[in-house]
Amino acid sequence: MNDQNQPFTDDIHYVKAYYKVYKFEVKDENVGKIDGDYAADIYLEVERISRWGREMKEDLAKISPYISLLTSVIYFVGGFYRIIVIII
Amino acid sequence: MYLIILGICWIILHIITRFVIERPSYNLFDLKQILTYKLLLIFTGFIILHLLIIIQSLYLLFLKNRFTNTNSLLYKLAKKVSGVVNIIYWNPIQYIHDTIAPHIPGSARFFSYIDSLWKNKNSVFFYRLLFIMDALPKLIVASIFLLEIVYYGQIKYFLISLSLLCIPISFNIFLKFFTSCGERNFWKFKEFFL
Repeated sequence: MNDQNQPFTDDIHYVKAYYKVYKFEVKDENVGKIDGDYAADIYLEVERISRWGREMKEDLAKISPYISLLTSVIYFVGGFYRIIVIII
Repeated sequence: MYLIILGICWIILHIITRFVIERPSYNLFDLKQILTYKLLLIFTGFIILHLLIIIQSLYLLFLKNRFTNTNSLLYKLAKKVSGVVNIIYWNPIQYIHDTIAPHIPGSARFFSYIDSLWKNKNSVFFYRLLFIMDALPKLIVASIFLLEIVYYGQIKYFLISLSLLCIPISFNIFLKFFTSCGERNFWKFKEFFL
């Protein structure tokens, strides 16, 4: 990965992330205006953040009904038992 | 305008109920002498509420695919209820989030730091994280309730342990900010490239 502070010389940038290498091509209107390496790094980072967030939300949605079921059964059994004991 | 007023009201209400209101502890055998119909009604309501949650969870888990007819009365009713809940609760909260989230100082730097910590973790780490931050506190609180109410006949430590439920709530808030930070900036940076 290139040094982020190094001045960019062209509009094509290669960024290594984990075991993959991504090729980014800066749009013509942005050439010379942005640091391509830095922008590509941040682009991968925000993509990862949003993907992780989405996946964690999906996983939470998958396990939540099971957790709700389990905890509600516990509250139901405990509460029902106690109310019967109190009334009797 | 109603979104910002209602949103602030909901957030204040959450903070007051979670952190400000002091909950008295009860010994249920002492309570028996002063047990009124009102208290019995509240307690029964608590049990019925959990019965409804059990039914809803079972529906979500096992029966959802069997009842997806969009013309059914149940489906229409569920759509209307969720629409009302969205207008009254979720839309104001979402509006507050959208208003403040991009302007929290240092938030992007913090999420970037979290990203650097999590970058090389595998999926097992994330499953453990979800279990510890979301499921475990709920299970601990429910277990304390069961043990205390069945064996000791009181709800003293259960009320103290309710603070543990702040962990899943905080984690969900974090997840919301984390995801929205990524999604918001993703499109900004995507525009730079072909």
